[in-house]
Amino acid sequence: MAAQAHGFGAMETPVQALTSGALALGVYPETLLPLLALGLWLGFCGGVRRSALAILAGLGAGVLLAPFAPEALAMLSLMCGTLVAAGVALAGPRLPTQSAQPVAALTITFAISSLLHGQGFDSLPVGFVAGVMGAALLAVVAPSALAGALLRGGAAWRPLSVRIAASWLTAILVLVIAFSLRPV
Amino acid sequence: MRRTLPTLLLSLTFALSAVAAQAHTGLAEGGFVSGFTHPILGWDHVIAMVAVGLWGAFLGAPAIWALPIVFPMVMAFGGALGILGVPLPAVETGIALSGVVLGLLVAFAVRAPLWVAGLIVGIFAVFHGHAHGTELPSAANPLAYGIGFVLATGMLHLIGIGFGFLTSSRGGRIAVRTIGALIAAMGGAYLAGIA
Repeated sequence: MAAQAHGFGAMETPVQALTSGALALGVYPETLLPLLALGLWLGFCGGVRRSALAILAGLGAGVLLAPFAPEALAMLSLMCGTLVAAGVALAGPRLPTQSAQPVAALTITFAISSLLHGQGFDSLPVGFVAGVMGAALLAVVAPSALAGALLRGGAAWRPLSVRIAASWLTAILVLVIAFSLRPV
Repeated sequence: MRRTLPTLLLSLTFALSAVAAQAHTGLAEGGFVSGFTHPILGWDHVIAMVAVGLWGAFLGAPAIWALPIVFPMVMAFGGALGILGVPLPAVETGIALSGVVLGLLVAFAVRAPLWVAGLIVGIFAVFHGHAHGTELPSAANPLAYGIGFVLATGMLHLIGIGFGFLTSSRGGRIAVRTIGALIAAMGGAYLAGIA
C-alpha cells in the first residue's frame, strides 16, 4: 500500500524551508515526543556528547530510510518513545550507560523516518531537511541538558523530578497511541 | 499493615452500599484546556489524586515518588482502554471507592509495603483513566489534550505531596489524617449517590 506522506508548510525560500522543517517537528507527536523521551534517557546516561555519533547516525538513517518507510512507522515510533519514557520513569539512575547509543540511534531513526516517510530524496529542499535535523537535535539536547543539570545536585528530588517528567511523557504517549488507534 | 483490616472493612461497607456516582459531565472541546480541566472539574477525581500524594507522603521514601510516577502511566493505560472503547465494569463505583479507600488509608496512616501501595493505586488509576478516556471528546487534539490531562493530574498529585509534607510535625500529621477522613467521607458520598 502506498504510504501517505505528510504535508508541510511553505518552502519557497530557503528560510521558509528551514522554518517549515523546524516547525514540522512540533506538529507530529510521533516525532517530537520520542525525541524528548530520548533526551531524558541520555540525561541519565552521561549526556548527548557520549552518544553524538549514534545521534548523527540516527538522523542520517532516518532521512535515508524515509522514502521506503511505511505509514505504520509512526505507530512504531510512538511505541518506541513510550518504552524509552517508561524506562526512564521506572529505572531512572539504574539505566545502563551502554544502552544510550543503540537507544539513541533507533529512536531517532524511527522518529525522523516517520516524519519524512513517503518523501523522495528529491522532493524536499535541503533547507527543510536541515530544519528538521536541527529541531530534532534541539528536541534531544534540550531535555538532556535540563535533566543533566538537575541530576548534578545531590538532593533526592532532582532525579525524582526527571522521572516524574518521564512518567508524564509516557502517559501522554500512551494517550496519543490510543487516539491514533481509535476507530473513527 | 496493622490498621489494614478496619480500613478494608469500612471500605467494604461503603462499597456494598454503593450506587453509581454521576460526577462526569464530559466536555465539548478537545484541546489543551479540555484536557487540563477534565481531571480537575470532577471532585471524585480530585480527591483521589490528592489522596495519592498524601498517602505517598505518609509512606515516605520510596513510595512518595513511586506512587506519583506509577499513577499517571497506569491511568493513561486505563485512558487508552476508554478511548478504544474497551469496556470496564463498575467504573464510577471504582472511582468513588478510590476516594474512600485512599482517604481511609491516609486517615488511618496505614503503612503498606510499596508493592501493595502500588497495586492499590494502580487498580484505581485504571478506573480513573478509563472514565476520562471514555468521556473524551471525539474531536480531541491528541497531543494538546494529552498534555493538559497529564499535567493536571500530575499537579494534583504534587499538591497532595505538598500537603503531605505537613506530616513531619505532629500537628501536621493530625491535619493530614483529617484531610484523609474528609476525602473518605466525600468518596462515601459519591458511592452512596448523595454527591
